[in-house]
Amino acid sequence: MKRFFHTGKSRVLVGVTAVLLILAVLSAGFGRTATSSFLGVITAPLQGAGTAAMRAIGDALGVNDHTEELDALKEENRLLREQLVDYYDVKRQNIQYASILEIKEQNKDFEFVAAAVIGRDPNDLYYGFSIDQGSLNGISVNDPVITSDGVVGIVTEVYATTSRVKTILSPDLEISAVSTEFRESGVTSSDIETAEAGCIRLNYLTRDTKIKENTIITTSGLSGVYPKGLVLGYVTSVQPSEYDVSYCATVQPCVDIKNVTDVFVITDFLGQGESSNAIFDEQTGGNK
Amino acid sequence: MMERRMTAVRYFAYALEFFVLHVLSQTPGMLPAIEGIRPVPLIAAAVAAALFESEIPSLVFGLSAGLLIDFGMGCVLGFHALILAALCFLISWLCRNLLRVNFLTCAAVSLGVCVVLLSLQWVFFVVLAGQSGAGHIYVRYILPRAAYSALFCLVVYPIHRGLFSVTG
Repeated sequence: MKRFFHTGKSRVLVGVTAVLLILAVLSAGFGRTATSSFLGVITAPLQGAGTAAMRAIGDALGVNDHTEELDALKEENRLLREQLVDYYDVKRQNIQYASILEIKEQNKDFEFVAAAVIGRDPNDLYYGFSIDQGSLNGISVNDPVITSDGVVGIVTEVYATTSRVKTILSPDLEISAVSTEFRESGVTSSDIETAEAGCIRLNYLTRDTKIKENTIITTSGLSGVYPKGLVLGYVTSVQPSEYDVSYCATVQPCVDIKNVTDVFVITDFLGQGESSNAIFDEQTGGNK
Repeated sequence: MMERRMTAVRYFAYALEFFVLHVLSQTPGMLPAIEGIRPVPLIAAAVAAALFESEIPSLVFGLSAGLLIDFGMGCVLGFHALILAALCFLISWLCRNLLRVNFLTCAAVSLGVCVVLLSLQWVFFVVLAGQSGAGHIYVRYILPRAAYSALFCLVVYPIHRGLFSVTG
């Protein structure tokens, strides 16, 4: 055994360990930009191709809600499968653009980038995913990720051609939320049990809360990270909090976060990056 | 000369296999999820490579597989690489000196490495991160994922043995 530690192999092991430790410390301290961007450039096209293939299979099997149209097209174009795949690609793009238009009409200040989910890591318990758009497409860290149904999450890492998204099911994400119906606000959070059920929790409600089943919860826009008025979900139950005297509500997101395939990244909106205090200062000229 | 060429072919095949497994594990719907649990097949592939190769190549393959897992998970780059490189080095050394290489060894070692690696991942990214329900996560997700990931030795061991017998 003593001899082992004097061999060249053991020196290589020690050397590699030292290099990896330095890499880990550097990536923890300064982010993972260069190496990760390089890996992303290599793996993203393959992941994209794999995902596209899976979608094509899903479409062909009628899994993706296109069964009726697929059947009609099958009758007409059974021999033209390649064209059929092209048709669905165009159709999906149209749906994306229609959604963009719908959201854009409601929120004229939003700037969007449409993105497809290309990867879901098996190690992520909270359904985080990678998208096929990165810094080259104008995406930055902390950009909100949505669908036409509501909020999905936030961009946490950006590489040249891909980005990583943390979903609202992650316990690391807390969003300032409000019920526009009852003008009651709270903060959403999650843990493994709520995430398993595909839900989030709205915390810090008062004991006399009027929030009840089916109340719609939206973002309040206070943090400057999410625009105001994006739908988070609807309340399924209200119960006393386990940790203090306040109440909390279980909120079912309107988006199917576990299976979402196409998203929009909001790259710019009015008030982005400004906390409520900053907006208040701006409006009052700093005179409180 | 011929031997070197064969070794290069084998290493290239390993690299290709790692890359394909990484893409497979990351692509939604490609590998079936059981009760929401998805496997990490790269661990079994790195272990299978370590069973047949000498220490330094094993370390390099462990490192490569670990870096791909790090990249996929979006955690600190080098965490899985460091552990998997060291474990593959150790496995290779054990196989050269103590263990007999067969399918049972591969299955047992794969399971052990999966449990160790994913448990350390749990310790650092769940327990030390202060996430609630750490025990539930370990029993409900980490251990089943380790078992599911180790199952991939059924696929990768014959491939590696075949590659080694042809090119070794």
